[in-house]
Amino acid sequence: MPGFDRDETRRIARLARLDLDDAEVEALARDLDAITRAFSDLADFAAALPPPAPPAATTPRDDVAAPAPERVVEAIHAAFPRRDAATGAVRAPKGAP
Amino acid sequence: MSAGPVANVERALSRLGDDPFNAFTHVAREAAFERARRLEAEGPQDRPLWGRVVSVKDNIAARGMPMTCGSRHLAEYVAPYDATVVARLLDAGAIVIGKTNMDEFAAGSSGENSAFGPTLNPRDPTRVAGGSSSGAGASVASGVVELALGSDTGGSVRAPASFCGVAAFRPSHGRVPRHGLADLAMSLESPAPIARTVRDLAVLLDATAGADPRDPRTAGAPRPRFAETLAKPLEGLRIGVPSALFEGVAPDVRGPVERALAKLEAAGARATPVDLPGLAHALSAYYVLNYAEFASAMQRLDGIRYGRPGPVDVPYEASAAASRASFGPEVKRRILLGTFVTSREERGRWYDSAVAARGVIAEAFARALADVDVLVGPTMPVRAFRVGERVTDPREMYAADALTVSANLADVPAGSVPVEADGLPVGLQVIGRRGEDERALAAMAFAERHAGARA
Repeated sequence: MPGFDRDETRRIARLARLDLDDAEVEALARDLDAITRAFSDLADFAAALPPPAPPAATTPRDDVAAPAPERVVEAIHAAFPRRDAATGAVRAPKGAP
Repeated sequence: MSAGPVANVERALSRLGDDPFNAFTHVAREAAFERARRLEAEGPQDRPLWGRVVSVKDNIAARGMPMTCGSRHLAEYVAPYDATVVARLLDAGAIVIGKTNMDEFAAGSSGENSAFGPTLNPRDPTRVAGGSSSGAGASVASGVVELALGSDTGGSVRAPASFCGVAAFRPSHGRVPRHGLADLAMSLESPAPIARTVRDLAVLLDATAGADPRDPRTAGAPRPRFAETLAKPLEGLRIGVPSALFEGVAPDVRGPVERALAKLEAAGARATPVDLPGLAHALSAYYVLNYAEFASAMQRLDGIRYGRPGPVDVPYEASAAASRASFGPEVKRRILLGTFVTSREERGRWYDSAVAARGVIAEAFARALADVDVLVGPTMPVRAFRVGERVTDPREMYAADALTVSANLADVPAGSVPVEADGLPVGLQVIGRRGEDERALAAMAFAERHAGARA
C-alpha cells in the first residue's frame, strides 16, 4: 500500500475543505500514514469473506401510471392516522424547526 | 438529592464550586433556580424526576443554552429548541443545571480533545475522565448531579463511567430519540445516560425512551419499562464470556473483572465461554465508518450553515476552509480520513470493507447471544491513564476503545457498572441482545448488587 505523504495529505485536505499550514500537513501526513497502515488488514479480511448474495432478479413493471397497491395505502394510513375529512389526504406531523 | 428542587440546585452548585474538574462548558445558575422555584410551587404532580438536577452533554440541544459540541467553531451557537430527550426530562420534572464538557464533536476517547480544556477525573485529577462524554461522567462522579445525559458513538458514556466509577448505558438504536443530538456519526451514536446507580439509569431511560415522530428510527419503539423490569427478580441469568473481550486487557483490570464474574456465578448466574469471530477487526471497521460518517456530517460546519463565519469576499470553498481552520487536530484528522476512505479510488478498499466487516461482527453478536442473555467482560482495557499520556499517538488513543466499539457496530445495548477494585475504578461491561435493553439493564443491576463497587 502506498504511504500517505504530504502531497496526498494536501490533495485530500483540498477535497475536505480544510486549510492546513505546513506544520499541520507534516504532522497529519505522519498520523494518516500510521493509521492507514494500522488498519490495512481490514481490506484483506473483507476480501476473504464469502461474496454477498446477489439481489433477487426482478422484472420491472410497465411504465404506466397505476394506483398504489392496497397494502401500501393501508400502511400509509396506519402510519398517519390523522386525515382530512374532505379530501382524505393524510396529515403529516409538524417537523422540527 | 431529595430535599426539594431549590435545595437540590443549591447543593449541586455548592458541590460544583469553581468546577475544579472542568466538567462544564456552561452552568445555568439563574435558569436552574428559576425553574426550581417554579417546580417547588407546582409540587411533584406525579413527575418522576421532580426537582432532580441533571447535566446535559454539550452536543444535545437545550433551548436557550450554548451548544458548543466542545468546539470553538460553535462557541457562539445557542440552541433554538430542546432535543426530544431534554424536552422529556423537563416534562418529567428535571432541572437542567448546565452543559457538560466533551471531546470536540465527540472525536475522542479521553476527554482531552475539548477546545475548552481537558476534563479531569474526580477520582484522581491527574488522570483523564474518559470520553467523549467526559464532563457528564465527571459531573456524576464528583457528586454535582446524580443524573447526566451523554451520548455514545463507540463507548462515549461507557469509557467515562469505567474511568470515573459510575454507571452508564448505551441503548439500542431507535429506543431513545436522536432528534436534537448533533449528528456526527449517525449509524453509530445515540443519546445515553450516566448515573451513580443502575436504578437511576432506569429512571432516566424511562423518561427519555420511546417513539418520537421527529426520529424515524424510533418508529414502533416499545414503551420503556426499565424500572418495572428492575423491580422483578432476575433468576437464571445466563452469561456469555467472550475471550476476545479479554485480549490485551491490563492485569489490574482483568483481575477485578474475573473476580466480579466469580461473584455473579456464586450469586446464581451461569457463565459459559462464547466465541466472537471477527472481533479483531472491530476497531478498524469502527474507525473507518466513523471517519466516513463524521466527514460527511461535518460538511455543514462551513461557517454558513453552522459555525464561525469565514470571509465573505472570497469563493465559497476558500471561505469554508478558512472557517474550519479552528478545528482541533483530531477533528481535522477524522475529516481527512473520512474524505480519503470514501473517495472514488479508495472507497472499495476501506469503506466497503468496513461495511462488510460490520455485518460479520453483527452476525457474531447475534450468534453469541442466541444461547445466553448477556455477554460480559471489561469495559476498558486499562484504568484511567494520565492526562497527556496518549495524546501524541492517535493509534494508542483509539486502542482504548477496543472493547466498546463492537456494541455500536452490532447495534446492541451495552452498559458499564463499576466493580470492586482497589484504587482507580474498573468497569464491567454488560452487552445484551438488540432491542432487549430492559433485560440488559436488569443484568447490570444484578452485577451491581452482587459485584458492584461500594461508593
